[in-house]
Amino acid sequence: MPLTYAKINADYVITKVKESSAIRRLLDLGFTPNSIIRVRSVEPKLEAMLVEIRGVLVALRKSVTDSILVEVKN
Amino acid sequence: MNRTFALVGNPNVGKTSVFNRLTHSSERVGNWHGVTVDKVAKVTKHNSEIEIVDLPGIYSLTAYSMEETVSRDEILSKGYDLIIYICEANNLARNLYLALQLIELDVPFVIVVNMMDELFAKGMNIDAKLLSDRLKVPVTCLSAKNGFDADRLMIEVTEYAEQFTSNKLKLPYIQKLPIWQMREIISNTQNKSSDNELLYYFIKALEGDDYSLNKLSVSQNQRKSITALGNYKEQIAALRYEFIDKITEEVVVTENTKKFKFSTINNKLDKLLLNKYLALPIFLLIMSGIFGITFGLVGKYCTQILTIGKDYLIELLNGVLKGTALLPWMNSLLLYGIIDGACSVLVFLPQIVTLFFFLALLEDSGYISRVAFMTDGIFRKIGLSGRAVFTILTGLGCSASAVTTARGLEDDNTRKKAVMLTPFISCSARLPVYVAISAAFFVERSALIIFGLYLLGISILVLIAAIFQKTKLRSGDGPFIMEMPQYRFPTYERVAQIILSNAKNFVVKVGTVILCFNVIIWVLCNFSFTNGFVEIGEGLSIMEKISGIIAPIFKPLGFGSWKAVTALMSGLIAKEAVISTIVNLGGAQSVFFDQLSALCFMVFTLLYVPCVATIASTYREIGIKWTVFSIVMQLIVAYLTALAVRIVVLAFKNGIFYGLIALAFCIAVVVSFTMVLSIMTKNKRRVRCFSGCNNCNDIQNCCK
Ligand SMILES: Nc1nc2c(ncn2[C@@H]2O[C@H](COP(=O)(O)OP(=O)(O)OP(=O)(O)O)[C@@H](O)[C@H]2O)c(=O)[nH]1
Ligand SMILES: [Mg+2]
Repeated sequence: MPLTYAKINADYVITKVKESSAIRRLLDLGFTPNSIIRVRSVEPKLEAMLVEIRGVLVALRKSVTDSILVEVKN
Repeated sequence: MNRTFALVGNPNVGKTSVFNRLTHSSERVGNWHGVTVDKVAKVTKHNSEIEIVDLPGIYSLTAYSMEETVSRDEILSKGYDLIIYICEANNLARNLYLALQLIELDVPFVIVVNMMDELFAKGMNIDAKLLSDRLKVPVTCLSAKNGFDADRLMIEVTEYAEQFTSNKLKLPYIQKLPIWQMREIISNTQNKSSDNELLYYFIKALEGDDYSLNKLSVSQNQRKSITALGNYKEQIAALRYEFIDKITEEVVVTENTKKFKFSTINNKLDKLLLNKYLALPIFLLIMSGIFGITFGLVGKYCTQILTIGKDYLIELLNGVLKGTALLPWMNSLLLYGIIDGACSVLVFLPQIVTLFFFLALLEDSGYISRVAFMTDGIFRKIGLSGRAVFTILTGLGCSASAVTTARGLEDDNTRKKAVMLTPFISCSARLPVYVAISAAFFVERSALIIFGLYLLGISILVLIAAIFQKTKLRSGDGPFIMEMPQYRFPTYERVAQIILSNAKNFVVKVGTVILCFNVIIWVLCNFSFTNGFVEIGEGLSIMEKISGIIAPIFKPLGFGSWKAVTALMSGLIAKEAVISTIVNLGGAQSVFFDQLSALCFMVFTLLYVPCVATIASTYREIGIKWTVFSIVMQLIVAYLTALAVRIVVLAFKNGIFYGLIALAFCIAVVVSFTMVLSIMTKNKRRVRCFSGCNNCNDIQNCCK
């Protein structure tokens, strides 16, 4: 499922980063398949998310979170 | 022999902090990503033959924004004698990603792990020797905040630069890549790169990096063959991180598991400051507090005391000069042209310093990045992005430097708009104008008027940005990806530095530019071409003649006097000069007829063309065509807004009915302005960049 629908403070595993103009930056920041990701906060108008990846907080706009596919971490 | 070393690293890892220590400088530092937007070079204090270059932060050698392109080009084409690669201790894995690319490129570099104090606070450490062993690169751990032995560091890295031949590490993941197939595909190109460089460009070409594909002069057919090898974009990043994760697991050691307070504080602060319901009220409360203290408390007491002191000084000097043999015009020049003009600006020093102090606190704390995140949704609607907050915040201090921070914005249109709209944010130089005029005309409500002017500036920015969305400059749908910094406390040393450097800049500006300009204005106002020295107000002086021609244009705004026009013209040099000129010409009471004309003048000053330094920065950032466009736009907006304020206030004085009609008129003006602008910049041919990189909208100059 897209990261957009992930719950706050639950751990997810990235399965794929879809092709888009943001893919290069995402990969460089460590959004690679099998990385663990967690949503820390959502912008008041639900237009952006604050996620934690590899111990770093990154703000992503909804169009970007739509392109990151994740599944719940077992 | 002269050498040049470059400071390279991810954004916000402390490159400029290290640079400042190595070169004894005070370049701008801030706790957000993209503070440095251009390269800065200086010789080290240790050895005058070594020059250090501070570069903008970059995540990977595939550049994404304008300032990253500067760094990539510098790294790839300048052939630095050594790269000092700065890492953030807290975030070693992500920082080593670019380090691996430097190894792939086989350039001489050393790793400096900065911010060790923060890692220690978490009860953790880094095994520098082991990291150096794994990467075959010298590693030093330090804290730029707490200070380090700069001389020793320079001696060590210089020694390494002298003996460097090639990096000895064979990166294991390269064997998993189709490098020999790449060699076959690209064997016929005329590329002059060395073998090591070629390896780097092959890897980047496999990642689909346009810059590298162009560098290798790859034809369309060759591109197809490379694509046929498979999609390596994701795989290469994953392989690099796999290698890094193994290393960081070994080298980052936990020494004290009980010391995890640091990240807990960060999380708790985030919970409060990013709370869905509290985030915006907290932000408004903080901003109101800052303005309240700057304009209310400091303005009321410090500036008032200094003004009394200034008046006393002028009186004293007046008495002394009367007893001398100086000619009357010399007396007047010295007293009013020089001393009174300069001092009338200098009395605002406490307010300027207070404003800069709070702005620096906001920048250094890491809070402003949270504001960028919270406001991205709002900014996106008007075609900007949350990152515009950095430009706006810098604009509250100085428009000229704010304009350059727009380089970090996502795409060309967003950047252009931010550059053109930033001057609507009231810079600190305009503050003395508001304070002096509103103190003269609105005594008790002065702080409220000033706050209103700041709000008006922001509202106009939002309105014009929304209008731009209807034109060729439409933007804002691009990706927004921004790393959040940790919350940090600025050190006493840094606070002192902020206060001293801003106070120094202000005093130097008043003592040089403003003072010289005051003398010029005084001469133009007190001399005529034919009669020599004349009294102000006789209509004979050079300035009265020139400004008198323009003055009727401002009659509808209520300040159509030559004095007001002279003050506005002097504001083109520096906005502080507006108030020194008004003082030169007899003070606010003699320039404006009533409260309303004073208010309209302040509105016009808020919105009209910025100073020459900002115009020059605008020209550097967006070229002559858009600079001229922005100047014309700012003049029209300033005139129409001041006119609207006058009409509405006058109408409301006559009753609510007239007031409402006036408001309707103003809305009609805005609508017609939108239509004119839409026609002026109408996008006849909507084109998209082939590569989808969001860096250009122009099909001819597409980077692909
Ligand atoms: N705790 C701590 N903070 C530091 C240290 N070095 C720098 N900082 C802080 O980190 C933030 C970023 O510092 P800069 O020197 O501006 O970083 P930069 O790499 O030049 O940033 P960009 O120009 O945006 O790429 C500032 O708030 C500094 O005060 C350190 O050793 N320890
Ligand atoms: Mg910097």
